[in-house]
Amino acid sequence: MNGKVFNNLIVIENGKLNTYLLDNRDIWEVGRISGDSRPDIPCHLGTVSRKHGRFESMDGIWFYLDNNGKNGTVYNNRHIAPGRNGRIKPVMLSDGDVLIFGGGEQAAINSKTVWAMFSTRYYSSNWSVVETKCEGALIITDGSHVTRCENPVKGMVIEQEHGLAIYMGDITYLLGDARIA
Amino acid sequence: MNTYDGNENRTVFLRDAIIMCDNLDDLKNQIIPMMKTQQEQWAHKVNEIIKENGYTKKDFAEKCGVSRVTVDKWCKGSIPKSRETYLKIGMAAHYDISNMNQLLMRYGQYPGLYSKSLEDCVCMFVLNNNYGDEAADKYRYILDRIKSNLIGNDRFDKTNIDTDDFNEQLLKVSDEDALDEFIYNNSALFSYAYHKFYAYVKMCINANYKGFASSVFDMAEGQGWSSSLKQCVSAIRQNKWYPTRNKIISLGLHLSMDHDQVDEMLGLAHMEPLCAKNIFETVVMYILEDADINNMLDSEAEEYDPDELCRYAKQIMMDMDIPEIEAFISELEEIDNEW
Repeated sequence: MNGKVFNNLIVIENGKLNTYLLDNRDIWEVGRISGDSRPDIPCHLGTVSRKHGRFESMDGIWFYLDNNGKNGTVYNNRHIAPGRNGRIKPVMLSDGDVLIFGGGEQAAINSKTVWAMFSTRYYSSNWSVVETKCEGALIITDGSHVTRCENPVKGMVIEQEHGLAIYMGDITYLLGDARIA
Repeated sequence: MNTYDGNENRTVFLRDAIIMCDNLDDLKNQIIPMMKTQQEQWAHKVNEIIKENGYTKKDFAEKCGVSRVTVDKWCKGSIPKSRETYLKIGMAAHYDISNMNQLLMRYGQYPGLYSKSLEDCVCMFVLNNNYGDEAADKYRYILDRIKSNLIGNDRFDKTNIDTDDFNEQLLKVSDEDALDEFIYNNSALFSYAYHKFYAYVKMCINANYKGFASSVFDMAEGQGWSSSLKQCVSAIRQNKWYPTRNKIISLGLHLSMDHDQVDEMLGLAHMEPLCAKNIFETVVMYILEDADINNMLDSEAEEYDPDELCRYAKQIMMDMDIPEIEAFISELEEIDNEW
């Protein structure tokens, strides 16, 4: 990994993972593809609004701004409520913050929601996907370093010095040197 | 420690009690009297400091950079208005870091010293190096000198140092030259904290009030913010100064923020969330809740009016007629003149 900060967004929708290097532009619209509307971060689920929200940089600091639509967004397990009289409440993002689009006030990760994580790490390799049928514990190795997670839950992120793993139940996404033991 | 835990429970209780208030009379008759304990404790403490150090009230006032009248008020229970004043009081009392933290947290309800904030970093250096009677003057002199020389730093790549490690490094700084070097080497870290705070304010304006202003400066000019609030915002923009707690609250009211957003700004300035342990903040918490519950603001307007909450807050504060919040009302004065 590199000392410089990169601002990325990892998005998982119905088992498909995409990463966006946010630094490539100042504003990224999030929404459902519909007619002539094709947002920068396109989602397909009907629970996501066409103009759901946007990621926007202000002087190098990244924010998520939710448009307070029907199904809304959960940020780090907390529903993003509208500000006073519907004003937009900018959410300042930090490494590892998780957003769930389209699940109402619940932070459930399922086939009707889109999971996203903001990360400032540098990814020099491609993601791999492995099936996981863990009974009780998930063991991730990063070279000689071993992380054991008892009873993992969907959306659990295991960060290691040279790798990253995102557990999503039946499948786990691996990056860098992360491997499942 | 037990006492502090007790205080925390009491704070939660008070916050819940504020939410339950149906009107201003409830707040005035049920909640405000509970605040008196803090004032009594503070009056006892400040009288003790003056006596133990052999000060006259006039000497003590000079050391703290306030008037003799202000010290008289403190001795009767009036609470100092800013965290910086508590720092001056602690230095006048020849406190070490531990006692200073107790003064800030227990009597001021402020967070303890935080080495990653430039002001606190200099304060900790002064307390560590036993400047005695010179402490307050030394603090101000060093801080002014460093601020005037501090160069804005746009490289924020290496700002993620552990606070305990940072404290350890600061403890090893033994003279002013070494402090200059320490601060120069960590200027990105100090600047980053201001930078994030300012970015948050800018983004709130950008997201909701584009029709009123394209920058914080335009907003301040166009909406007639008080000159002290404008100065404060300008200083943050230049990465040179954190606003006081009351200025942050004022900023929140001027931008019609809700309770969470005011707490977010306080957090970015390394301060505790709004706290129901002093009368002023109790009233602010009531205003923030009341404006939400009773939908006091105009929801029909095509554009959001940034000053809506500020006007409403001023009206409530004037109706309260409580000496402890009079000073803050003047913060909102210039908007009132425009009515």
